[in-house]
This record gives sequence, structure tokens and C-alpha cells, in this order.
Amino acid sequence: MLFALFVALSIFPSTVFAAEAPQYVHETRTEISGTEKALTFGAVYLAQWTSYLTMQHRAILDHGSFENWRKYPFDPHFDRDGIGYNVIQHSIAGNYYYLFYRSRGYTRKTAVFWAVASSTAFEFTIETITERPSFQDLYQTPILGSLLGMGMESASLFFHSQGTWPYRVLGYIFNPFTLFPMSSYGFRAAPLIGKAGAGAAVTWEF
Amino acid sequence: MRAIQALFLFASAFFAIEAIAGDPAFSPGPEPDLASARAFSPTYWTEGLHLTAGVGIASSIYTTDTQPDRFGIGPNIRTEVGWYLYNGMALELSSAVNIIRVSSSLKLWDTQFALGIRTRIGRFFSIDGGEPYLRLYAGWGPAVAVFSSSQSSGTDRIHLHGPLGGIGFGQAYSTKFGTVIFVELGATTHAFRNYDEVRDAGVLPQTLAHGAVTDGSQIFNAHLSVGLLAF
Repeated sequence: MLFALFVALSIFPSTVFAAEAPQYVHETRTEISGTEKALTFGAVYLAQWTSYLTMQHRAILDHGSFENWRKYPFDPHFDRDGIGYNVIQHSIAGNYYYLFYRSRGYTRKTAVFWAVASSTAFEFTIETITERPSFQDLYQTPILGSLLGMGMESASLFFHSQGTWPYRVLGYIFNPFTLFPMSSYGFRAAPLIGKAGAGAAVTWEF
Repeated sequence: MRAIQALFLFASAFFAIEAIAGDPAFSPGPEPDLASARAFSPTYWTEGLHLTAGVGIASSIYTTDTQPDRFGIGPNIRTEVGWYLYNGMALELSSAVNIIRVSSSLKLWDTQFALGIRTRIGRFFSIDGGEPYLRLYAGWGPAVAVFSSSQSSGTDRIHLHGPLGGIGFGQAYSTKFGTVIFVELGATTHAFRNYDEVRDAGVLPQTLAHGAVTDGSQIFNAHLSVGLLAF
């Protein structure tokens, strides 16, 4: 039932309004300074520490140590986690890395690159308090996560472009970083070309 | 919760395909490659980093020296991060995940990490106008035997580790939106050298036992997948 509703919501507005509605788009920035890249990476790193300390406090208390933190970075391995954790949850985490970098105006390629960097930093300098770095996580978190993020971003753009608040809410759910006031997402001028003539849509951001 | 997760994943996959495929109803269009004046196409591989991903179906035969062969079928997800050296040759770091249902009580979750090459092989092998290519890869990875319920020993799953090698033959096509898509048929052999018996206990999995695999355990796997060039 929920799925049918989702499909109906997805298809109906695109067929009726898509041609006229101003488009909600991602705008790639061609110039991003080294300082801004470092700050963006640092913001992700801070968020990683915060989420790790709050969500993994049980594991840290039971299994964590400074000795692990010192030794484990030099001892990566194939981990023993289950499929739900390794494939699903890590992909969801990687999806947020990708979406965050995209929200700062990165291209798809550079967003994937920085998702790899952030994921690697987490594996080697944060999670090593409790676990050895995992080869599966090093690859799958940023790569599967980025692919998931491409889908999430497109879904979000599509829903935002419908213009009405229920769709806007879905747009924010699929990509929470569209809430950021300084994000690279927004409504942009869209040319209108139809039988009656040509023009441009008035656009806004909020 | 699982239903919501599944719904999100399904929707994401749907929109990813639509967006990457460049349908203007779903996305503002393919992102231009800022580093290259000419776009990647099946017949012109631009140099540098590219990401391909695909989904499909895989079938596997699990053989040992001591037990009957077991056959299963299931979904296949694969990704390749490729460094394209020149027009026609790439080095790739790849991952393939096959989730094979062997029986109602046993699934094989086979993860294959590999390094390899991708090369075009000439139009002689072209099918329906596609640009044929060949992939050769070798690597290492874990295959996990996942039981539907804990064994009497308390084991939830057995992680097998070992080397793998494989070959893929594919055809690349360009869609009307300019997207490059791939159809690939491949085969992989995955042998196992050691194992860990694992139980989910608390927040981290617990290894109950480990040792060398001595019964010649091996997975022969074939896959048919459809892929896209993400960038």
C-alpha cells in the first residue's frame, strides 16, 4: 500500500507539471579553495568522532583501549561483520559522506574521492579504538555509499522540483543536506519553451 | 523499519538509474566531465578515474572434497573503480557481492575484491552494435556461509577467506541520453584457505574458532549483470 502510494506520488506530478515547473538542481562549483576543502573534511571528521562516541559508547567501554588505537591502524583485515552491517548500514553512512560533499558543490567524482578520504580516516583513526580497519568497509562504505547517494540526491531533486510541501518534505528526507542554507542546491531559472512561446520561470530559494 | 529501509533503497536505486541515464524528467542531465573536452563513450575511453556499477544475477556452485556440490542463485552487485590509462585499457579495483541462496537454511554471501584490467577487444565480438570488452581480475575476499538459525555450537556464520580469479566479457552501449551502459557475462573461481566461525554476541562479532580449510572448499560463480558508467 505504502509502495503503491509512493509510486503514484512519484509518477503523477512528473507527467503533469515537470515541463513547466522550475527545476531544483545541484550546481557544481568549479573552484573550491584548499582551505575550504580542509574545513569541509574537518567538519565531517568532527561529525564522525561525535557519532562514534555517542553511538558506539558500549563497544568503546567493553572493547576499546588506547593500545588498540595505537596498534590497529597497522593491522587491517577482512572483518567478521554480518551482511546487514557491512553492506546496508555502511552504505547508508557512505551515502551521507557523499551527499555532504555534494552539498558543498563538489562534482560527482570529487565527492566520491572525498567520501573515500573521510571513510579511510574513520577506519584508521577513529574506529581503531575498538576494531581493526576493515578492507570491506574501506571499499564498500564510500563506493556503495556514493552510488546510493547518487540515487538519494536524484530522488531529492525530483521531489523538491514538484514544488508542493509534501514533496519538499520528501526531498529533505532523501537528502537532508538540502536543508543547509548555503548548500549548492536550489531552484534555478529554467527556460520555458512551449507551443505558446518561450520565457523563463521565476525562481526562489528557501 | 526494515520496510522503510527497503523502500528508500529501492527508490534510491530507481532514481540513480534514471539520473545517471540522464532522463531529464528526473535530473538536470549528465554531469559534464570538467577534465575532458570529449565525453566518455563505448568507443572512446577518456583517461583518468571512472566508476562503473552494475546489478544482475549470479549462480554459484559450492564444492568440497567431502560433501556433495551445492548450487544456488541470487542477486549480484558489482562496482569497479577504474583508472583508464588510455583509450582502450584500464586498471581496475573491483568488488562483487553475490548473495546466493543455497537452501532454505543456508545463504552464501560471497564478496570478491580484485585488481584487474579492462580492455576493448575489437568489433569482431560485437553483439547488436555493442563495443566488446574483456575484464581479467584476481584478488582475495571473504565468502560467508550464513545460517538461518544458530548452530548447536553457537555459530551464526562461517567466514571463509581465500584467493579468487575471474574473467568478464561484456558489451558497452551508448543510450540516447549519452549514458554508457554495460552488459557483462562473467565467471569467477574463489578458493578458500582459512575460516572463522563467528557468533553475533553483543556489539562486536565474536570469533569462536578459526583454522585452515583443508577440504578443498571452492566456489565457482557465473554472473550476468547490467551496469552503468556513473562518471
